[in-house]
Amino acid sequence: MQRQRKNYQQRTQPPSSIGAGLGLRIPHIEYVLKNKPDIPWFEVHICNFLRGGLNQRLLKEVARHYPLSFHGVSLNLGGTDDLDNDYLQRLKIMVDKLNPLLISEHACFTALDGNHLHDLLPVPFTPAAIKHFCNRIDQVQCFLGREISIENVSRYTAFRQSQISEAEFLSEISQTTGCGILLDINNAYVNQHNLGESLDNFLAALPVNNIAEIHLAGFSQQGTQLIDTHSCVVSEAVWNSYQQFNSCHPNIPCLIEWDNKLPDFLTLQQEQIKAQTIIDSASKRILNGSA
Amino acid sequence: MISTESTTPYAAMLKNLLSQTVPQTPSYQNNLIATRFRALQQHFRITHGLLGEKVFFAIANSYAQHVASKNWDINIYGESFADFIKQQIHSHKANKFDWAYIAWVANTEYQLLLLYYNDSDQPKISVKLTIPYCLDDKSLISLLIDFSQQYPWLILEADCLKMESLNKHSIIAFTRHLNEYDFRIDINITSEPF
Repeated sequence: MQRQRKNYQQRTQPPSSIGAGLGLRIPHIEYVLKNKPDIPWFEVHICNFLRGGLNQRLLKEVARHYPLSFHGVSLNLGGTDDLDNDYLQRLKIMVDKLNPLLISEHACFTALDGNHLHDLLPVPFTPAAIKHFCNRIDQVQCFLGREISIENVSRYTAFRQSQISEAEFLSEISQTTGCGILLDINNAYVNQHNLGESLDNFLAALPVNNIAEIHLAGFSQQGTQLIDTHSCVVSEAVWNSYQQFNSCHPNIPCLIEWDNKLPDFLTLQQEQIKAQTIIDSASKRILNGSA
Repeated sequence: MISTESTTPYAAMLKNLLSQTVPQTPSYQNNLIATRFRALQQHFRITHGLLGEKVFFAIANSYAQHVASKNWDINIYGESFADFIKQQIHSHKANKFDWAYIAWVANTEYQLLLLYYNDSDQPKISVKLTIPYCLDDKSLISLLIDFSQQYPWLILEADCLKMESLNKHSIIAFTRHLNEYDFRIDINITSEPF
């Protein structure tokens, strides 16, 4: 299934060699600006940079040296409150100023009736939800003049109202709106553990050509559940799934996320190097095989 | 932006999820409160220090449970936290702390937060801050050092009648490494004579 791209300005297509990036968190910005580590691109939680002040000044400085991807958590695509004009206008200003490689959000809702939850709450996968998401993604893409991608979120309970699979849900939205899919393999792994949904089936059912980016992160165990805490290294199981997926699709940009219990930058960089090694290895194998 | 109907069956389903499913799912419920609590910890660092771990946890946790976030930006959560602290004067710990003073510190921290995220393109903002409380020298110096350490982007110019012996340069030294990014907020702190 191929998505129908609309007439929005396409993202600056990341070259196949863009490789593995890192989520850049505020405590590391000074280190990055001073040491200019060898990282092909950074992704930022753009919500932390939409107001003025020092954060925004620092981000503009980072953008002078590195390609950026904007990852948002506040767009509330799945919610029914009006899309937030203040948020969107601030986002557009930053998009126009810094021209990020990618703009992404989550397939979830984050606010309801004026209350902002600051959490990524999933919605049941239904035709009504698809229609709702498509309508709002169209609005956002039209307003920004840019294509966005949406990410599969981690889930801790199954909704009896769901009528289709998550892969079908994301595929349909991507197909209809032309938006990309941000595939978070860690989230899919967490969902497999918590809800018994097959990770392999999920990956197999996604339209690979629509996947604009892959996220990898670490989870924590609380009781019998895995929680998507982004507080540790990527698990071996997730690395294995990524390696397997990447062996067939090595040109999709991959990103390491780490948000809580943030270690020093070099520890993060080790994870990025690991991802880059997997990408390089698969690319070589494919090149050798096709030569 | 186009308005979205909030009375559709889809909207009703989300409301049902939020009112029933989320409270019954500890992973979601814990995260909703924990996110607000972490924001308060981050935004009120000096207040946290003055109250200590146990009391701050109790007050911040109560606030986080009862006060929803009304803005997409968690970075500005806690607008009424200082007022909430002031109300502790009616609590069983009424005599344990100078609640009015701690509320003033919390309000000052929140105002600094807003200054930090201000939309002005001006790289430098000057603010005059008057401490309306009679602090002894030790407490006043301690407070200024706290501001310097917790808010390294501030430049404090302590213009204080009671602080003639204070070595001002030792305080502003914390700020210098950020000057290359052309951003600072100068705060001229004045203590009212009593």
